[in-house]
Amino acid sequence: MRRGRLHAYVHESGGPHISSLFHHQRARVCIGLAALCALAPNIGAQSASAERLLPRRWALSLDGGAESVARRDDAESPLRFSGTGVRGTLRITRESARSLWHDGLVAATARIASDAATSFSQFSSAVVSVDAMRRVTTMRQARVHAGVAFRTSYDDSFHHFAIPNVASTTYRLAALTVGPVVAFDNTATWGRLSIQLSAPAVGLIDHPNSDVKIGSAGLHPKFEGANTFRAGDADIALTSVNPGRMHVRAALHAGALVYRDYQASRQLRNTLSIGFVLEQRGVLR
Amino acid sequence: MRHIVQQRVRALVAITTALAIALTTSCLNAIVGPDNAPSNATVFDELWSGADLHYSFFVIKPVNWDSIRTLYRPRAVAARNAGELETAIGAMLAELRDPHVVLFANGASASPTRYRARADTVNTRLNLQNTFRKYVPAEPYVASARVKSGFISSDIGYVRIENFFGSDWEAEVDSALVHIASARSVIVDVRENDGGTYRLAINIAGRFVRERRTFGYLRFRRGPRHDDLTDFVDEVVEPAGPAQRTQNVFLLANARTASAAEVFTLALRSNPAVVFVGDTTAGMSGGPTARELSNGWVYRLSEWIEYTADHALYETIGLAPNVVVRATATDFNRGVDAALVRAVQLATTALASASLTPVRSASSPPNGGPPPSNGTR
Repeated sequence: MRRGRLHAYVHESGGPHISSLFHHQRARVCIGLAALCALAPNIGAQSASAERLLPRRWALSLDGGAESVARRDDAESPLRFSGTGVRGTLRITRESARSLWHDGLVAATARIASDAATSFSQFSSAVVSVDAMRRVTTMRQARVHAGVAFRTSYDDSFHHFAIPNVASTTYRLAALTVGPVVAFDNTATWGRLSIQLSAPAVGLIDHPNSDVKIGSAGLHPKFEGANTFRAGDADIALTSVNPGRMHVRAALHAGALVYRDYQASRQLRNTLSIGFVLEQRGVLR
Repeated sequence: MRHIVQQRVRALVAITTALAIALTTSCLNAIVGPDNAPSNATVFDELWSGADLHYSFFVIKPVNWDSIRTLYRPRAVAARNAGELETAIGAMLAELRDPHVVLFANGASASPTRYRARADTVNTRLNLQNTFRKYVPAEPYVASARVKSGFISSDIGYVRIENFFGSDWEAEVDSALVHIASARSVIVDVRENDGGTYRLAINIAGRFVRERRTFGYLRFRRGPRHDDLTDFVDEVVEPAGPAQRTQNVFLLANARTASAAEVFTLALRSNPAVVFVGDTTAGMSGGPTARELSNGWVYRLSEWIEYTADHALYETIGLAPNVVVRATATDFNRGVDAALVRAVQLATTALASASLTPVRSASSPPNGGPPPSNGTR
């Protein structure tokens, strides 16, 4: 009996040998074949290439995890603050034969402190990102995409001082950036490994040296290039490959930022997170 | 098969964890930089440059900040202990002549180091306990340690606000106003009120205005140069709370009314029906922000410049009353609260007359002082 179950599993796992199109499920193979049959005239009319037969993939992923933050923002303090917090990511992935889109929303908060000071800071950030990429390889198992990453980020540091008549200050670093992004994706029987690297090339940066908690400091963004604003994000994710639409995803995110303003800001963040991916595959029309 | 997959997943998670730890430790100093060694020179330089980049009043105060560094840095570097360092830095900060500039030398001294301004030394000849005992005879309503109210007469209510520290206690003022709701006239007393939270002061001022008004302007320090300031940012007060007292309001303030209490005063002045009685306020308009140093000390600096609705500065000048009443030694010795007495007279006159509007313009100094002024001096 056990042998039979194992056999059945192996048989299903053999899906990728047919193709990675249909995600190990017989039912989906049937649906996919039917869809292909229905599309056959169009595909023929469009002189279909092998790439055009690749599946369209749509995935919604939700991750949450622990984040380690270290930062030093001269606008706020000459001290280095570090600590831990939580970070959540919502991401929509759309992949077709030649393009890959990631639309992301990240929210994070951490309590950070300095060894020297009695104060502490509640550091929060939010990122809205859109990565538009084109495929640059033709291999099915290992896919490489390259493109442009658009990022809007807002870092907010609410700083509490242990002095009489408790004082607090709030500082922000807002950035609207554009830069290159590269994504590598490799699917194997044990899972899918995804690596993505991005770095802004230019951007509008708002980094007031005033306490902004009154809310009246106003926006004064400056146009910055890579010589003054350097940042980078690396994401390494491992997604389980199993029958069904729901998959488990474990990810490591590392992000660094150096803004060489007259009030320099530097930060390093690492996140280990785990979450779920809801994935839908279809056939490219 | 599943077992193998699970093993590989575990291995990958372990590798990524190790990678994260390695990244954190190896890149931390390279990117974020190491902690500064808290030497005397480092601490002094951090504070000097912090003030150089953030202090807002360099454009209006005759201070050569570079020369001050040259003068005081050797003293700070030569300090043999925390106390001497605090003294050297405190002397440098005193050159700014700004009571909002404060050094909290944790552990070095019991009290913070700050410039002692006129508001700290002036004798206002006011005994508030005596005022309550003598002029608010009925049992006063005590909303909290910060807010008290009562009746001076059946028609004249009295509200005392001790300070504006903390947040979210506007309702205490509402309760105090409810207690004197039957009074046709209200005297609001913020004498000796040394300020507190800016936003709270404006919210409470909203209990005494009838419409949204710009009562002043702020300019924030915004860049490395001393004259890098933002444009004028409106300060707005609008009606707030369950009910507002906007007619027959008499505001008492004096030379120790400072900081957020002056913001409150400025906001109430936007209501033409409010008559400001007493003495010129302290002139502390800076809006302090806190920063810290490598040795754990904290300092505060003024981060904005505040202007009246007429775009007039009042830092170190103060806000002048409509009706000037300065307590004399004779009044004090006799237990007379001259400013309150004058406010009661004005309130009584106003209530007796059919029209209340002339009160503001018709007022004159009762003690031979300077003529009333609606603006700042």
